[in-house]
Amino acid sequence: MDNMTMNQQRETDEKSSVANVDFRMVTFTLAGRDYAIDIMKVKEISKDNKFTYVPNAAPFVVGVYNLRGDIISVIDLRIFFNQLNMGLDKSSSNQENMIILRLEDHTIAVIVDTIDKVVGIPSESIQPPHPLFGDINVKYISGIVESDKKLYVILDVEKIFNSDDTEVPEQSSIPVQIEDFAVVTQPGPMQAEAESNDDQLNVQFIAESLATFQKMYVSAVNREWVEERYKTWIQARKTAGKDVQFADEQDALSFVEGFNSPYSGSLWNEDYIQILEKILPDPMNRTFYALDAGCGSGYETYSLASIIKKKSPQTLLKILAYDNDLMAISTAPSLMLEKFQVPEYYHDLLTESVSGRWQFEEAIKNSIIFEYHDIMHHTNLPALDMVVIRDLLSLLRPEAQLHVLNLIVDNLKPGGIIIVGKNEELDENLGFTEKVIDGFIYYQKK
Amino acid sequence: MRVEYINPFVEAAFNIMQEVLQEDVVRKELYLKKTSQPVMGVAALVGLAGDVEGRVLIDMSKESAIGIASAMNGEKLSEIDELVKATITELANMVTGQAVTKLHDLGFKFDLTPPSIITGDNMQVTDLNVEALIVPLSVPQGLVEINVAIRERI
Repeated sequence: MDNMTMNQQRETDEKSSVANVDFRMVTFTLAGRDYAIDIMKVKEISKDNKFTYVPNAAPFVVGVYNLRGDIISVIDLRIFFNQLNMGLDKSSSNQENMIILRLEDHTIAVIVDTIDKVVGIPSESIQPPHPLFGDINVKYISGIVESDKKLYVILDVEKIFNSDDTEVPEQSSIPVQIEDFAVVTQPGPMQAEAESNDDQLNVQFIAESLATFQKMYVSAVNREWVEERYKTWIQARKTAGKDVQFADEQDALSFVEGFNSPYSGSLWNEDYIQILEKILPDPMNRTFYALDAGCGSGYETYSLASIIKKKSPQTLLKILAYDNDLMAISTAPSLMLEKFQVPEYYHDLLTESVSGRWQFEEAIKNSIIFEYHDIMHHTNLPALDMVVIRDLLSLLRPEAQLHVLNLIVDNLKPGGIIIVGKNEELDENLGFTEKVIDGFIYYQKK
Repeated sequence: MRVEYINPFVEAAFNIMQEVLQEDVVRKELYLKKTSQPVMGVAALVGLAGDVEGRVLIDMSKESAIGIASAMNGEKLSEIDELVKATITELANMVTGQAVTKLHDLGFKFDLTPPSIITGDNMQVTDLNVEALIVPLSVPQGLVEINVAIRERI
């Protein structure tokens, strides 16, 4: 009897779940992972390899395709999402798998690795995207769903290929909220010792005065260093018989002393070069895009360019170097050096100028674009392989720090490298893995 | 905005203004502006293409435009008529022309579009996705802003 009811129960359960299938999606793979697109957006599926190449189009545009008289553009989703299928090197005779999408205002074809099947699911089983899934930018994912033991990432094709560029107010793709991230250690609610409570308050005051003197903005990026620095600071101030808090700008300046990374504003030296050579990918035969935010007079940018060029002479290197200090950056494109001050490592990359002083050779110079640019304004970036942003975040207000981090997360390729200041750290929720090499910390995008 | 582009525009604007007005021109601090910004009243717009994409806007109030056109023509003008518009167009041509020549000497290729003049009150100019470099010049007739928004083709 009991058995009977249970079976009945199970049957009705199954029925209701079958009846609930109200969302069908076409599933496919990109670099071995499963993705899906709402079937209502899919016009048809096709195989071909005859595409008409369009000169000067973006790299992910394979060309145009004649679909029974309609000319439609063909986009390679693998290139578009930086999901190059490393293992499978397919010969050119192979036909490409195309999904032809019917979007609101146009028809477009996308190329994927393999097309799987149509899967029906109840729409309530779709879960909102989580940033950890992000090989592909979260903005383009409408949800995640599990079906038949496979996890499908549902792409929001309207958003990806939306033609009108009315800028959607940039959603934060980072799960960190500004409240958690910003400012100042909150005094713990239940501090047992009065003294440590005092310390907390003092640190908070110091953080506020640092902001007032515009020397530094304390946030998750540098909080640890500030707290450590406070311990030595309070000792030194007590010995000197001075107040812990800053009296003037000079005090604030001496507090942040030692924060800057080694070789700040100068050419990097041998030890730093060796570490970077280890971090950089093996010699490569392709375009390598790097961003140097806050490049100042460009010494560090030239160092980076030299190291990459020496390690991978074949690579087509483009470094975008930004600074909003016009005076500093205006000398950067034709930086003059005294040879005896330049470390040996760079000597073969220098040429003598008419004035008898030395400059980096054309090949190095041409690989860098120096721009007078405020990174808080709209920043156009290609997909980046590397970001160097040493000590800049700490000089930005917390909301600006978050904006810049967002920008980096959105534009860095998976596996891309980010180097922050020596005394700065990135929250693990941002989607970076912390790596250590010879005591040097850097981050890699997951 | 690429550093190499800045000086040619600043120098060209400064030289041309000094040349046509024969008066003291004071260069003020350069700065960057976000995408949307008000336009003072008379604006000459020149498009740029080539290695880059963008535009140059030469912006001034109506009074300044009339004053500058009067000085350039050597006669007293009193309203924004055809002559004033033609004169400001020519001014824009001269400034961008000289800047582009200087840039060409540095190895950058730019093409120009013919200037167009825009006049009116309470106008705004918006360049999606590009920030603008402002070169403010103070002349006896008022303030002239050279507003350059160009971006690299990456």
